[in-house]
Amino acid sequence: MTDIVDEPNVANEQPDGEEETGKSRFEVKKWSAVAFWSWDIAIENCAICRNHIMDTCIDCQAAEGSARPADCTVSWGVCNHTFHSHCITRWLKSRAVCPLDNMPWETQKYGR
Amino acid sequence: MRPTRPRIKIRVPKKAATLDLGETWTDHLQPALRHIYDRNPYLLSFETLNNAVYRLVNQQHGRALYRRYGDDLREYLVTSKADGALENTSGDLISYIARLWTDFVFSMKLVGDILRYLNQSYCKEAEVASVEQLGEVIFRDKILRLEIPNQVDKKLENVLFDQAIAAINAERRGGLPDSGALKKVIEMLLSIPFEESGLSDCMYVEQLEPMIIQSTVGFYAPEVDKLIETSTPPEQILEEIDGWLCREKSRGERYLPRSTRESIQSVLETRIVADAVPRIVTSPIVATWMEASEMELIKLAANLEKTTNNATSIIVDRIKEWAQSTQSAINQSALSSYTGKGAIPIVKEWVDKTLVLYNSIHNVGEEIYQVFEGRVNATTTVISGWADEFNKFDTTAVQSKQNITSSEFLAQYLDDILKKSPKTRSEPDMESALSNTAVLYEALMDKDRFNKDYRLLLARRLLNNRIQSDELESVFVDRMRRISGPSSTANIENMFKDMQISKEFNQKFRKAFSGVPTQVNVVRNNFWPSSVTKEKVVSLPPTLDEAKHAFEDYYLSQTSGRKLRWNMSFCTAELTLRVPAGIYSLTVNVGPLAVLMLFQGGERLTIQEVSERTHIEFAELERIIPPLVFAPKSQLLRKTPNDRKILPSDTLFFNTEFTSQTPRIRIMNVSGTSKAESDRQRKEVSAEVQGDRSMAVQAAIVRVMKARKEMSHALLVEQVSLILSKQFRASPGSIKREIGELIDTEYLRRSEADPSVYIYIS
Repeated sequence: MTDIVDEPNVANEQPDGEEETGKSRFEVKKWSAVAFWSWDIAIENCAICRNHIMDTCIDCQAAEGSARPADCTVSWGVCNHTFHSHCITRWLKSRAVCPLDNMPWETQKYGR
Repeated sequence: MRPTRPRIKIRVPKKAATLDLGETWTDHLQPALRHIYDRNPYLLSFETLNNAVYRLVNQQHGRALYRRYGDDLREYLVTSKADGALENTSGDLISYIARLWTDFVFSMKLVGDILRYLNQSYCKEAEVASVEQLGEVIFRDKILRLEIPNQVDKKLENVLFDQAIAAINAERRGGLPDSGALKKVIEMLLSIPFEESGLSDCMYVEQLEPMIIQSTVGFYAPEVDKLIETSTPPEQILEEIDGWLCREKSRGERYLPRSTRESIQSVLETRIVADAVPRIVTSPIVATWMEASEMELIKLAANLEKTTNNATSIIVDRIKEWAQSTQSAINQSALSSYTGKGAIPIVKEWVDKTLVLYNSIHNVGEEIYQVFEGRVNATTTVISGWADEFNKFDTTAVQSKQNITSSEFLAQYLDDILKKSPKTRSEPDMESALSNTAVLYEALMDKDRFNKDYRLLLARRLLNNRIQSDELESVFVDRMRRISGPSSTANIENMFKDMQISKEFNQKFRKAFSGVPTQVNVVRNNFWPSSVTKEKVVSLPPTLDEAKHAFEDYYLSQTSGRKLRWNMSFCTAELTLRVPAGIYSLTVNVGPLAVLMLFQGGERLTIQEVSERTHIEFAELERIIPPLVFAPKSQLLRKTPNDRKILPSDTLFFNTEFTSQTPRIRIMNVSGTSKAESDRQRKEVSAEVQGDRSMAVQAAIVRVMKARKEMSHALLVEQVSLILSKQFRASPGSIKREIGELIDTEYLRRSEADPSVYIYIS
C-alpha cells in the first residue's frame, strides 16, 4: 500500500497555500491516536498483596486520597519476578529473597 | 292544721330544756322549710331555727330530724313540682328544669343554713350525705327520674337528655337554641351523682356525656356521606370538616365541660376525619392535586389527617402511589418510543420528566413533614416508594424487549450536557442541570453499572476532545463522590489524570519528533473502559506509521518496564484535500483514512483490493465505504456499479468533481455506533458488572468476617448488603453464592456446632 504516497515528508510543509502540482491529493495535517500501557509482565496480580499489578498496592489502596499513588510502582528482580515496589520492600525487610523462588533478591529495574 | 299557739319563748336555759321533736318539727321547721321551697317571702328567724336544730341534734334527734327532712322534701317535690315537670315534658323541658333547678339550688342554700348543725354534727358522725346533697339526690329521684305515665321505661331524664341532644344538633345545623338553659341543666347534671355509691360519677358523665359524644358521630357521619354522595368538590368537603372541628371547639367553650369538648374533638378526629379523609382524598383526587401543584389543598388535607393521630398517612401513601404510577408512565413512554439510535430526545424527556416528578414529590414530602411536625416521615416514604418504581425501568425494559438500562439513559443525559456541542447552554444552566441530576444517581440502585456507563461516555468525550471544561466535568463527579464515597470516583479521576499526563508527554514528544504533528493519549490499562483498552491494529499510511513508531520508541525510552498497545479505533486524522474545486479540510477516522489514502491519483480499485491493501476486513468496509460514496456532504469516491449495494467486486475511484459548500468536512465515525456494536458493548458491560460485583461481595464478606471472626448467616448477609448498598443492591442469593465460593477457597468454614454460623479462617 505504500506505493501511493511517494513523499512521506510533505506533512512537514505548511499544507495551506495555493494548489500546486506535485502535492498529494490527500495529505495528513495532523492526527491523534489512543494507546494504553501496562507493565511489561505476564502476571496480573502482585503475588504479595494480591492486588492487580496495575492497581496500587494494598497499602496505598487503603490510604487512597491521602497518599501519592503515583509513587506506587513495580519492581523487577533479576529472577524476572515482579511485585509492587512497596510490597517487595516490605518483604525484603524480613527475608532478602524473592518470595516466589527463594533465591537472593536483587532488583533488576523499577517501573516508572 | 292546729290552731296557732302563742310562740314559745325560748330563753337561754340554765339547763337546756328538752325540746319535743315532733312539735318543733311540725310547728317551726317544716313550715320554715316549706316557705323556703316555695320561695315565699317569710321572715324567718334563722337564729331561732338554728337554735332549735342545735338542741334537737344535741338531744340525739339528729337521725330523726334528718329523716323527717328527707321525707318532707320528697313529699313536697312529689306533690307540688312533679305534675308541673311532667306537663313540661312535651314542651321546653330544658328551660323548665333549668328554672326549677335554679330555684332549688337557692332553696338548698337556705336549708343548709338552717340545718347547719345537723350537717356539722349528725351527718359527719353518721357519715351520711349533707342535707344539700341529700336534697340533690331527692331532686334527682323525684323529679328527674319521674316515670312518664303510659310510657314503658321512659323517665323524665330521658326526655331531658333527648332534648339536650336535639338542641346541640339544632345548633350544629345552624339554629340558635337557648344555650343558657342548656348550660344550667348541664351544670345540674354535673353536680348530681348518678348513684349514691361513692364510686359513681355525676349524672352528666355517666349518662349525658356518652350520648353527646355518640350524637357527634351520629350527626356528622351522615353529613360526610351526604357531601360525598352529592359529589361536592373535595376541597369544599375538607373545608367543611375543618369548620366542624372549629365549631365543635367553640361550642364546648360556651356550655360543654372541657372534658366533653376534648372527647368530641377526639371522636370527630378518630371517627369522622379518619373515615372521611381516605374517602375524599382518593387516588384520582391526589393525582389532580399533584398535577396542579395544589399545595394548599394537600396541606389542608394533611392538617386534617394529622388530627387522627394515625402512625401512617393515607395522603402520603396516595402521593407515593401517584409518584409510582407517574414514574411508571414516564418509563413506559420512554421505552415505547426508544428505538436505539438518536435517542437523546427520549433520554432527555425521560430524565427531565423524572426530575420534575422528583422535585414535586420531594417538596410535597417536606411540606407534609412540616404539617405532621415530623411525626410522619413523608419525604422518605414518598421518595423511597418512587425510587422503587424508578429502578423498575430496567426490568420494564427487559419486559418490553428493549435492550437499555436506566443507568445508560442517565449517563447519556449527562454526556449530552457535558459534551462540547454547537448549541451549548449557559454554564450556570448546565451546572444546575448536572447537580439536579445527582438525585437520580442517588436513587439509582445499580450505581456500579452507572459508573461503567458513565466512564464509557467520558472516555469518548476525553479521547474525541469533546470536553467543554474540567470544572463542569467535576460538578457531577463531586456529587457522585459525596453520595457514594471516594472509591466510586477513583477511576474517573484517574482517567482525567491520564489525560493530563498524556498532554504533558505529547508536548515533550512534539519537540523530539519532526514528523506529522501527533497526539497520542496514553491511558492506564485498568482504569478505562475495556472498549478503550482493547488492542486494535490497522495498517496506517506510511507517514502515520512512522509517527507511531517514533512515539512508541520515545515513550519506551522515557519510561521503564512498560509496554504500549494501540487502540486504533480511536485514531482520527485531519487531512488536506486538494481537488480542482478547491482545498478542503477533512476530519476522518482511521478506517476512512486508510481507504482514502489509496486514491491519491486515478486509481481504480475493487473493494476486494482495498481490503487487501488496508488489511481491513470486508465486513468493516461495508460500514466505512457508504459515507464516502453516498453521504451528500462527503462523496469523495465513486463506485461502479453505481447502486446502494456494497460488493467485494465493486470498483472504487476518486470523484474528481468533488466539491463542498463548507471548507471543513467531518466524516462521521460509523464504527462503534451500530446497533450490533452497542449491544455487544452493553453485553460486555453487563458481564464486567457481574464480575466486579462478585469480587465486591467477596471482599465485603472477607472484610466483615475478618473483623468479627464468627458470624451467623443472616447477620452476615445483612452486613454485607449494607456495606454494598452504596454501590448496588446485592441479593441475598448472590451473597450466599459468594459465601459458598469463599468456603470452597477456604477463607471461611461452617461452625461444627451450628452450621448456620461461619468462622473466618485466618
